[in-house]
Amino acid sequence: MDIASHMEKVERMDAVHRRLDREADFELWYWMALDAGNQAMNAALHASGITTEEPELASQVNDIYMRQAESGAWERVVKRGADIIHPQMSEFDKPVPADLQTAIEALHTLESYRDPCIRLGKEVTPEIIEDCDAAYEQVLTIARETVASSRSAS
Amino acid sequence: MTPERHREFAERITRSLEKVTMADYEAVIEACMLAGTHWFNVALHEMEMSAPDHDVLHVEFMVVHERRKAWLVVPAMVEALERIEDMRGLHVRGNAADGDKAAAAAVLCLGVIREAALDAKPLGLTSPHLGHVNLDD
Repeated sequence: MDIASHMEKVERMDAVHRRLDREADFELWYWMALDAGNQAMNAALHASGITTEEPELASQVNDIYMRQAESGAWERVVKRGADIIHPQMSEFDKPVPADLQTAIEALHTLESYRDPCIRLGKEVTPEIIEDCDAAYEQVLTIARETVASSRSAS
Repeated sequence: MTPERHREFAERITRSLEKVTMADYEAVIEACMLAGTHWFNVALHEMEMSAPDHDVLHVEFMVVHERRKAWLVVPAMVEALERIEDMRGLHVRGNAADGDKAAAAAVLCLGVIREAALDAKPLGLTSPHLGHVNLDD
């Protein structure tokens, strides 16, 4: 997907994230941060030239993408180097700049709470919520700066 | 997790779902996926087709023979969660058209999964521990 579409997704998901109650709605509050963070990461990776803007849409499985045929129908295709679904499940063919690596690590921190808190029943403490919030904000800040600097450079 | 804990999660997420609209279709689809997966696990645990220490993450990630057995018993439930999962690539990760229509369909799918979970009873099948394949072995 192209950078503009990723950033549009970020704004939509971030708006829902900020509307929800971080305690009463923790699961969806968290999930919107995770989704927005991943969209922002894809935009930043494209802007840095590490991955490429492609028309295919990422699925739940690495390297399987959805491609729209001329008929309008969607079909699955296998390819590499376009949108990622999780940084820790991805391989990059080009070096990752230090600031983007910091954002990747922040996204890892956010993701580290996914299965324990959403799927395995770990108690969600105020400290966990703060940690998620800080990691998410760091991902967004770095990704937005990366995208903005690529626009000003072009 | 136990069926009771899955149910608590599913109900919490469904309450959050009520705070967003179809215009927030990404959030609707994701909430249906999350709540639907918890109801899906309620159903499998209640039917004693999966052990409490073995939860399904996504239908797409199920071991083939376990997915096949679940589909033979409750095809509508399996297909409903699979349909929600398929929406994620197009409308959550991607920007395919008609996200709001997909979100409305996801809510209907969630209802199908929830009903199946609420109707689930022990089936008296072979213990799920026997025949379970650990892909890490």
